[in-house]
Amino acid sequence: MADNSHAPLDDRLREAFEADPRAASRVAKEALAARARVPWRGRLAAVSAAASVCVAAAIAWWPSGPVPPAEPAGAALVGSVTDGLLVVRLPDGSVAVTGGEVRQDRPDDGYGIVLVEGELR
Amino acid sequence: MGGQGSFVIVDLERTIAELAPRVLRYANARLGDPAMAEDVAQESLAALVQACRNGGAPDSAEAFVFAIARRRAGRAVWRRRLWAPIEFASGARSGAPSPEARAIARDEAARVRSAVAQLAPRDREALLLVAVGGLSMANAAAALGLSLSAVKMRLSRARARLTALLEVRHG
Repeated sequence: MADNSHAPLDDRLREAFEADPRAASRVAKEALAARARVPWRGRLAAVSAAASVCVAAAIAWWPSGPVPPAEPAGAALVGSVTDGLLVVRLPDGSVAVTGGEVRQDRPDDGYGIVLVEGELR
Repeated sequence: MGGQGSFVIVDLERTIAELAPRVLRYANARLGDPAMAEDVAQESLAALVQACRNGGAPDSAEAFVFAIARRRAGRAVWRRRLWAPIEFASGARSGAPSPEARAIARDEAARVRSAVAQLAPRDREALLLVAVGGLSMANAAAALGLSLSAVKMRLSRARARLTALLEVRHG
């Protein structure tokens, strides 16, 4: 048989901490209206999937690396040596002349590499 | 009410409506702050609603809700302890009780609250879950993570101590 000797004490306790019925009703209403939240397992799965896609994309992209500038077809330079000077026609149409001895009639800053536009004389 | 061992959720709205005043009363007893108690009760009941909507309805709705309410009330107590010095410094709380608080303190309810506050925390927790929250012994044991006999022992000790405290104050 249940012992109910503590019932008056429990009643006093409940009365001492009695909740406002309006507050209880508000709490129930708000709890039922709470937006359904995606469970943490679902969020974890979504984040993991996104991370996997990023990693896979990075792995796929990495071996290709930065693409080197393509060389134009037939870009091999052809030059000739004349009187100790290397004469090379560059792809943009200009002519580079280098080498040779120091010439007395040329200023110092012109020694070494000479770019000549137009026809080589 | 709280005497049923298992709580089958047939009608969520009815279950929430039945649990709301009980969990609110319990939170009020734990925290002594109606606004904070309302937050704790609402969060606990919302957790039950979400669990049911996600297909994870617990075996015992009341044990589930009260276990959450117990944890959240504990966190709220800690938060309040951390904030108390700041609130005191900013003048939000004055050290002396207000005239209203002094008037309330003369109430029978305040006497009971004061006596409950003097119980050992473990015993008080069992008493509040069963006597105030209306949980069955089995569900209180589940909410506290204790054996049934341990809950009975704590409850018995709490009731005896509370009775003594109230008699002393009455005399």
